[in-house]
Amino acid sequence: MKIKKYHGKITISLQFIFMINIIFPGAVYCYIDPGTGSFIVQIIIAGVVGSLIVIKIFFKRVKDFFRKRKNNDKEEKEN
Amino acid sequence: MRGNDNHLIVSGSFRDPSGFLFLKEGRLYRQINKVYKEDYDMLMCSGLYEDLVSKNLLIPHIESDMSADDEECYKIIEPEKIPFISYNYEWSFSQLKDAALTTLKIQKTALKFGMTLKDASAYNIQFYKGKTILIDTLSFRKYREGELWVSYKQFCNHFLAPLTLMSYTDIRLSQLLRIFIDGIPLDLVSTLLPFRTRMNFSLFSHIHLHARMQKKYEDKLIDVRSFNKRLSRSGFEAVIHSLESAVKKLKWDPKETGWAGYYSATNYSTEAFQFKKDIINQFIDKIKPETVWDLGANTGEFSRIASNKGIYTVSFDIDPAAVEKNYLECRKKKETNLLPLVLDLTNPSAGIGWVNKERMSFIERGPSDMVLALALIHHFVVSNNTPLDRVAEFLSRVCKWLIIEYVPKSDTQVQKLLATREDIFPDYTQEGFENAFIDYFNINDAVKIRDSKRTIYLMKIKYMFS
Repeated sequence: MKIKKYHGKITISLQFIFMINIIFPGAVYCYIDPGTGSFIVQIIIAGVVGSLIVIKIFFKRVKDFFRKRKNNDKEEKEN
Repeated sequence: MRGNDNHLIVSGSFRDPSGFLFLKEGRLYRQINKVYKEDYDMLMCSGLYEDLVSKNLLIPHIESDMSADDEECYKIIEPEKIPFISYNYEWSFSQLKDAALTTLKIQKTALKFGMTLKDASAYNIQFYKGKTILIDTLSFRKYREGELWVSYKQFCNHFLAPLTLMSYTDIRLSQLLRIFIDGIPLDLVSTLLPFRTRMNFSLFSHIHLHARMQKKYEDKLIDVRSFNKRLSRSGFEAVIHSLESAVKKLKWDPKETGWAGYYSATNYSTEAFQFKKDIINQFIDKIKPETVWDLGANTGEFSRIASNKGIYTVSFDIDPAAVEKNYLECRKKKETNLLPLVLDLTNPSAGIGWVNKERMSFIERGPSDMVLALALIHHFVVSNNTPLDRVAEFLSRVCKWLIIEYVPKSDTQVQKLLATREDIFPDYTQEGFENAFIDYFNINDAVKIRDSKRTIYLMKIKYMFS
């Protein structure tokens, strides 16, 4: 049951790790900076959270569209 | 450290080139250097300063007309003085959480006015009038579209890391902040957290992945400047939003610990308890102190006798659960004169950081006008094997007036402590107690508590330690 509960989260984490490897291959250049890792993480988080927000807004619009349609149908029937 | 014109530079404020704090004739000032002119003017003129001050998020200040010989000096400001400086390793869970949320709230507000926090240190947040407030006026700088949050790593080290450890592993891990003055390293946090924190997106990314990326890129060469064109404003806001939701979700429940449920388990009758309160009330009214420290305060029942009179009171206790309950009570009742803090009196906060002076020790922050040491002496003497004269000497270093409760050996609480150890305390008698204390204090009054074997003393110190 526990595995089932975490299934979605594990999938997201794996996709996430996959994505990082695509975006950040080994080749890098310039100067040692202990904050570099922190900068990269910020960009990743911004990308993921930003996308989630976009998806959320998209689904909300779809939901609203159908809700509106349903309401319109109802109103038509009542009339 | 002595600066020019005989003013004393505050030791903790040397890291930021934008300015520094100094004391002159007992008043606290902040010098703003010319290098920070543009950002300071933007803070003051953009409306950000007024907005933050009106929401009690930033310490108010006035611009002083004091002249400075220093060529670097742009302006000198006088911020309102915080009555007691406390540190993140002395805060309970909710205190640290509130400080973290305040920092993020300030960052969000700053962004609306085109500025950003260049510093997200927990040492810049203090408790003032019952609320968490930013005390470093020089923490802001102009936001440039595309830049990353420069304080992100610091925020994770100072706030998110200890809060997550306290919530998921052990509440006492907040004490790691005593060792790591720049916040807890994320690789260490990552190893101390349970596996299930990896299943949480926010904690996985801000802590585990963050730690891994730091390790991966620590010795690699990267063009850092290129990053500052990478993050859109909405991306920047998404990072702050993600941190905020991570912090908000962290919880800790102060279960009934040995101390937090103490009042219901004391051997006081209701009448004796009320009598004790009345005596303390009378003593406080007689002395009228401006500040009170309640040592071993538990959930602050006796601290509130002082704080309810408008006296600034700090409640110290070793138990994080008792301090948490005390703080939640303060927050609920919107109390402005009471500050609960976690402190082990047998090993109080030391001076830490550069030359041991960046953060003050417990004793350095005193003395208080009055100390309450109620039902405490037997813990020092019996539990910690501290001779009575050492206890008296310690207390004389931290107060001018002392209200202390003598708990005799025959008391059931002392008997409990003695149950598992040999009685090596032949001097622990009322006479021995008085003899030890009169070397450091004059006994002003002593009242035996009705229905109990205990006595409450009012004492005044004989001489001040310098």
